Amino acid sequence: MSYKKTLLAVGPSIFAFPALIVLAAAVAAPLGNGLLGYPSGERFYAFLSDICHQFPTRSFWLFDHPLAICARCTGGYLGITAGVLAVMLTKGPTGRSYLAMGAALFVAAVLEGYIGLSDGNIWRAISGFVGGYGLMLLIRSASAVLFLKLRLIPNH
Amino acid sequence: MKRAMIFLLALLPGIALSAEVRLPGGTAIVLTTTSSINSDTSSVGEAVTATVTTAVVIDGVTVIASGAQATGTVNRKEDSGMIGQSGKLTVEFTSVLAVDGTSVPIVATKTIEAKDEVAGTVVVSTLLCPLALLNEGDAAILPAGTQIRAISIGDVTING
Repeated sequence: MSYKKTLLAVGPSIFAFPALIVLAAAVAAPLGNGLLGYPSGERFYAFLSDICHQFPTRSFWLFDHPLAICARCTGGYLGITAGVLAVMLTKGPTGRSYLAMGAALFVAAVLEGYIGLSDGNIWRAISGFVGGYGLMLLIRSASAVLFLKLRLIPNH
Repeated sequence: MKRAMIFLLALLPGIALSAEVRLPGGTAIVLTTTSSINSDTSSVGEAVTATVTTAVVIDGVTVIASGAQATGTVNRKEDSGMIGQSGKLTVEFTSVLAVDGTSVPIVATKTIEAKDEVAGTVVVSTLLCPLALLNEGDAAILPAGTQIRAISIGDVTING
């Protein structure tokens, strides 16, 4: 793998691991309490309590227990993971138009979160997914533009 | 045939009364706080209440109704103070009322900590003005409407 490809692949993948850890912990919490019994999943709820409000009615449920993150966060972390996979498996967007697209998706999702247009957990998850995916496009494109500016990678 | 019918009819009230449902331990119950709780104005041991957000239904029988009251206490608090020290608050809910009036033991804990301003206060007081040390941190506030996940403790038989 060339220097340029390595640099652009490693950047987004840094975000994939934390996102996957959060998603795994979020699912492990209801699995623990639902299948193994209370308090097996409690450590996962506690682990994620600082990053999400964990309102049960705004979360997906598994085995009669809510996930340890809300629907919007679940969508967001899935979007980040999908975004990382997309930029790693394809050549990926690097141009300014993709930078604008990523920024637009991310800002739209954040604004929607504040205004609260989405009603229901499915829509909240979709909104989060769009935001997470947009964030990855934004980071990938921004890092490519930055690296080009700083001449860390060749233009061609 | 007639006798059999009469026998079955005689059994009906018994069937209706025997709608006992077992609420298994480890059942998740969603609570919503009904009033705001402030670390600076509350005291340890003070009673707090919440209501059940979503009814708990077992085998088609509602055992804990939506709106049922849950009770608990403030079990730890730290006042906010000078040098930007933030307030801390822990509330614990211990029981919720079932449809037949049975008190169902639960565990539900929520800890709230206001944003700590100690580091910022120290930096500002050192670099700009020592009077900044008088800056009081924020109280921890658990707002009304906060959802808390509760878990029932032990099996409880409820007349649904």
